Amino acid sequence: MKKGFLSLILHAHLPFVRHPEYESFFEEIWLFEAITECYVPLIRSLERLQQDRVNYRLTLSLSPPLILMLSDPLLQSRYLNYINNLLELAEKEIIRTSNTPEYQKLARLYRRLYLDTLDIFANQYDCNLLTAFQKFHAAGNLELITCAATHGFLPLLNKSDAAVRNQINTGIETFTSHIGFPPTGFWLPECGYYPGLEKHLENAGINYFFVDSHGIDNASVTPRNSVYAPLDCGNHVMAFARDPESSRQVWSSHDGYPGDYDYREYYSDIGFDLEMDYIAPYILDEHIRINTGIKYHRVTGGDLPKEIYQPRQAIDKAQLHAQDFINKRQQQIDRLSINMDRPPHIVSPYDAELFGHWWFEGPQWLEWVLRFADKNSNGIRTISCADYLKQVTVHQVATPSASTWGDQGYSSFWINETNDWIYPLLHKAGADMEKLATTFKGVKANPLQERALNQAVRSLLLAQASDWPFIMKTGTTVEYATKRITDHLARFNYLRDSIRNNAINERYLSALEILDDAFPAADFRNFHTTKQDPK
Amino acid sequence: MKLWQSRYNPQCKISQQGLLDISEEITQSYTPHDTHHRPELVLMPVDPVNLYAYWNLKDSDTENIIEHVDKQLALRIYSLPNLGNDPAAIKLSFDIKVEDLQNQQQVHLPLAAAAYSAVIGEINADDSFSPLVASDTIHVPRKNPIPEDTLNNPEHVVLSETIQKEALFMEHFLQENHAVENNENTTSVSPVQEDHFVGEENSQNHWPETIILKNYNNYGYDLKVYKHESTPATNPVLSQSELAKLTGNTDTQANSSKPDTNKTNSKHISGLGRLS
Repeated sequence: MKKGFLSLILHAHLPFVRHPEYESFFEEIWLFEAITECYVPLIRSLERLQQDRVNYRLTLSLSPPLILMLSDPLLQSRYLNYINNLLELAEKEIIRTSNTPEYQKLARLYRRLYLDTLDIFANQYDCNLLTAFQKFHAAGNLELITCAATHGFLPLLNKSDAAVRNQINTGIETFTSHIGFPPTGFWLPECGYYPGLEKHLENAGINYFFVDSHGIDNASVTPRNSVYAPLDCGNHVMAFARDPESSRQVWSSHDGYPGDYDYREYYSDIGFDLEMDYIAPYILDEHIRINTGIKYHRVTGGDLPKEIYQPRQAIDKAQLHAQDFINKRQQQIDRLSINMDRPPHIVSPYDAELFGHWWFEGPQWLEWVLRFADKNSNGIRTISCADYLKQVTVHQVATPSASTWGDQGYSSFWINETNDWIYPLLHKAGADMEKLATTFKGVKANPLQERALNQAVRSLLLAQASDWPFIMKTGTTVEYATKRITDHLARFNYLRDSIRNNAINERYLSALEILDDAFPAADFRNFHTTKQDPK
Repeated sequence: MKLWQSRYNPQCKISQQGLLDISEEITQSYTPHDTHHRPELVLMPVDPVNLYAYWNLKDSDTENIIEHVDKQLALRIYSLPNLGNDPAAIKLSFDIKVEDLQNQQQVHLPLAAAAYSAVIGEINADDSFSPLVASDTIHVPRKNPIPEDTLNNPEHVVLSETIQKEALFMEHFLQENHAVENNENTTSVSPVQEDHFVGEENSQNHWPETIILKNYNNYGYDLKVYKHESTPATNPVLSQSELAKLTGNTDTQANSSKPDTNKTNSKHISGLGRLS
């Protein structure tokens, strides 16, 4: 049995969705679902691991938009409404299912889950889940890192160094001000890397980042240890690669764990299944069916009628799959060790929202993986990339190849016939922002101008989010994505013209500051061209 | 009624309806349009074999549109392998015809792991090309890993890549010759003289032997392949003649046999600093 390292990385990100101009807003549910189904269950698992003194290391990438939303009082209060509404629905379901004990058992399970979620959210962490993650970090188990300010897709913002630099620096500043220390690792949005990006990361004080497997496989020099050891990009910034084998076991829609017939079926939801009169108060505008989160069936398999969900069976399966995952990593380590000059390092990054939302049992699976990895019966040691770099200090020098972890492995998901129209507009706004920053270089802006300039930066950042072209390509809520990018660019244009014409309307500026209340430390001076720019 | 206040000025309070009204007014009045400061041509790498180009031929400062009345516009793409010190490097170029109202184009590339640059210009009646706006140089990534035997030997990397590329084109060349021999009227191969790689008058320089691969890979363009036997004294991506036209420095056009169209000046050029 050979020894090797396993780094499990969860990247937690949601687009910044916050609409104070409405009493409630449908897309805010993305955050509320993720809190209920992903973040709180993850916290529950980490609590249990801590109670049982399991020695583990896990890395969580918290995107700046998620950090901002989790700490936002408006969204926190709206989440309380959301979870209380779900509790009410679960109560109603217990009554409705009184003649079907198997369903009622599940309705009771949902009520217990929601009560516990409310307790964790409101009582244990005072409505701010960031404090939970800080606690696990302080205990030495959870490595916290971050990514670009609004998850901007850097390879396509690369027309301007200032745009890339501002995404990176504002992201790091947001993380540092909320979490309390600067990150050493950086999650490139969509794992989007291009040669030269490492220089921006170095300037921002980052030690390591992640790329997809082919970013390392196709590096400027053949990697001696394939994707199982990081590459030094030449400036002591390290690139770690995703392991394709462990990714496939979780991600694959065909043979990945989440598709097992014992697991809960995501697409069977009472929001779609029950009579409109009954479900109306719990769906969108009381007439548009949406997922409520209460689901009674399991995947089942094939074209068979969906069978009722059996939670115990599903949890047992999660445990089996966790053991299988660990066994396969051990086999992988044994196999890789033969040709490597150092212990293999397997890096397994996943979207945090896969665990719990799409794969209901995912958090339990993860918990069991960490428990099994801690046993002496295998040679696996979970490690953070920061700790790995403290232990292994000599690395091969090479430049990774441009790559992403998206479909086809490059940029085509973020630039294609559905979304290509946004790039000339984003680039132009970026150029305008640089011009404005240059205009005010060496000139003291008055307080109103300073506010307007910084708000223009916020508008630009929010327009640059990779989520909008992603949604346009997936075709899910295209109208919303289009409106968001249009609104943010219009707000930018308005601010630009107001500044240029020295005609800033404070009421309008205040409205924009309320509407896009993000990145309070945004500083337009980041858009000055600096000597640090790599090009 | 709930009133909102900005964290930067708590005195200014705005209702929810007020926020909504201001938001809608700004969106209606300032919706972004596809207008640019100045004429430009931007390339973005999509993947190893695709790039995306967008351009603007209007100068918003002067409201002038670069003159291209009644002439066919074309996007001329140039390539050079990323490993630019390879003396035996193959250079490529191809033209994609674009319509007047068009301002963007996805381009299928003939070669991965290469640098690309482009110029948008007019095709004149005598088939010469008058450049209008040039792009920066971009790089598309490699498709496949470098072979193991090249490890720690950069010279071998260069050689290996060149051989691979030559093999690729020779294979295509042979296939197309076969097609011609069999009277399959899809392709022709002919040596041409090109003035796009104009160099110094130097007996040691052998001017490019060029082949044209018609409708290359069914991509809709004819690919010109230049095989240069010595290190060119030219700009690696743009020819000196084109550079001269773009910069207005006609001295360097002495070797060009084509008419001097001289329709642009340097303020229309994006990224010349990086090209030169």
